[in-house]
Amino acid sequence: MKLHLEVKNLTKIFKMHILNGKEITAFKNISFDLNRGKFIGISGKSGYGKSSLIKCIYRNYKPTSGTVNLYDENGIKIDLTSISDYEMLGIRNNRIGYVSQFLQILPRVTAMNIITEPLIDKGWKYDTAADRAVKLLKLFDIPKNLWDAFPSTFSGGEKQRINLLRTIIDCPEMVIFDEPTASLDGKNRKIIMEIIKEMKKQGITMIGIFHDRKELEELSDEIFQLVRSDGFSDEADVPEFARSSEEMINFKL
Amino acid sequence: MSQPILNVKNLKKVFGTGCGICLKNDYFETNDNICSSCGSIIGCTGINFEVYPGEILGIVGESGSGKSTVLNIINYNIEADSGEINFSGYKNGLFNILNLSSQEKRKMQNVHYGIVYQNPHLGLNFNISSEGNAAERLLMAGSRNFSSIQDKVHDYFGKVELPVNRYKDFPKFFSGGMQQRVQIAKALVSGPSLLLLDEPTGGLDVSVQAKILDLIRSISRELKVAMILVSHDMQVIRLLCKRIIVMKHGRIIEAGLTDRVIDDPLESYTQTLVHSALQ
Repeated sequence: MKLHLEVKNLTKIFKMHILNGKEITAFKNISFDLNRGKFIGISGKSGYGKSSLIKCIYRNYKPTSGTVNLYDENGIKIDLTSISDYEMLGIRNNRIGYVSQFLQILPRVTAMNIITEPLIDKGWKYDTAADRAVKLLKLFDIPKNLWDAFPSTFSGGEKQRINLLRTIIDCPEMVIFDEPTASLDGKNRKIIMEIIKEMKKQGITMIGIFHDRKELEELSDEIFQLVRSDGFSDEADVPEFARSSEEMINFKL
Repeated sequence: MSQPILNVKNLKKVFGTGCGICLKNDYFETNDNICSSCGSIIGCTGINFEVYPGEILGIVGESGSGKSTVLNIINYNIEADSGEINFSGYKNGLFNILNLSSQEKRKMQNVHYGIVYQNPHLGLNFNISSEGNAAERLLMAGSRNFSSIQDKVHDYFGKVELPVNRYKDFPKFFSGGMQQRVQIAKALVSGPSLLLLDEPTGGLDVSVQAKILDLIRSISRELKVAMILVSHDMQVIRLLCKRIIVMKHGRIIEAGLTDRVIDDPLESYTQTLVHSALQ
């Protein structure tokens, strides 16, 4: 089964009750397919709903309408918008990883424990989990004296590497990136980029937002650009996934 | 996919006389928790949720929203007016455990559940030793061998890091954080499969609060005990819980993954709650 993720007519409208019911449309009617092992890049100006889109896929946000179907290798599909929260937790733990711009830091937990946690939750013995973690920590170029320190005291680049490491340690079949290289310096960017390229070689399906156009083009098999359709109607400012419109730029790489 | 350990269906409690309107099962439609026709207080109504093995389920909401009422009904401190609770440890979850005999309810309290109150006075007897407090629970659960009881109690006191030389002291001589740790050890000593935590860190200073939270987290990871955590502190909830329920006026108004509820609150009250939290 080639198809891995199928997004259909996804729409997100924020209703702000505390602002007298003001509605803000993040994006409207977005559909796309993602095949196994491919990388789809999403670009668009700030505020055009890039992050909201991928957060809706990961159920960080609840989409207003539309479906997100995740297929397994045998073609059995699961609709991520309609399964229970507990089932979604299972999907997050076992199948889809998410790397954001910020590390959700657990206070007072050492880097080693943060990294090995996903494995231990799956029933690995601590020693085997630690072996794997050590291999990756070396690969990610994290100094040995930081392994048993708290990531809240790390530099931005180190934090981000721990974040990425924790996501990929249990080999998810799909990873979603929300600007993982933002706020990092050149050297750290390069390390992260190398790792993502290696992940791609290993056949992990990915969706990514990267601020840097060059990075995006380097990684993506296909880039979708979110645009706002011009006009004078009420819908004027609604960003659409302008796949078919003229404004849509679809870079086939 | 594992089966839920606790399945709560349509729980309802009305404080006061109650009338034909507010005692009806589908009573849901008002904007406060006072019945418009008889003035009874609606403790909780239409409460449905599941707790899965090993997870921590959070319940948030303002004071008086019915969080503790739900917890107290589960622990049989309050009798529910109607509803059903199935517990996987009792007859494979096929039986409504709200209808047990008082004897069996006591057994549920002592063997299958553990509870930690915000106020240690409710959970501990301040005039017997800490060891005695925890041992009492084991005696109630059916243990009779002195040395095995003592070993077990000491084992759990060690887990909650109570200083060894204070085991025999009365809880009334302890600090708030230590009393809370004795409560947690007492709740865990009989090996419950569900731990009920009612604002376990309320009124503690931040460093002690941090220790208690770390303790709860490590217990959840090591012993795989399922927990229901009631709190109004979003930071505590965010740290410990993967799924949460938001309550207001005795009703569940929103339920979801913790990060979803915090990042994309859908209901009016939840938005107020999230935006009120100090960042």
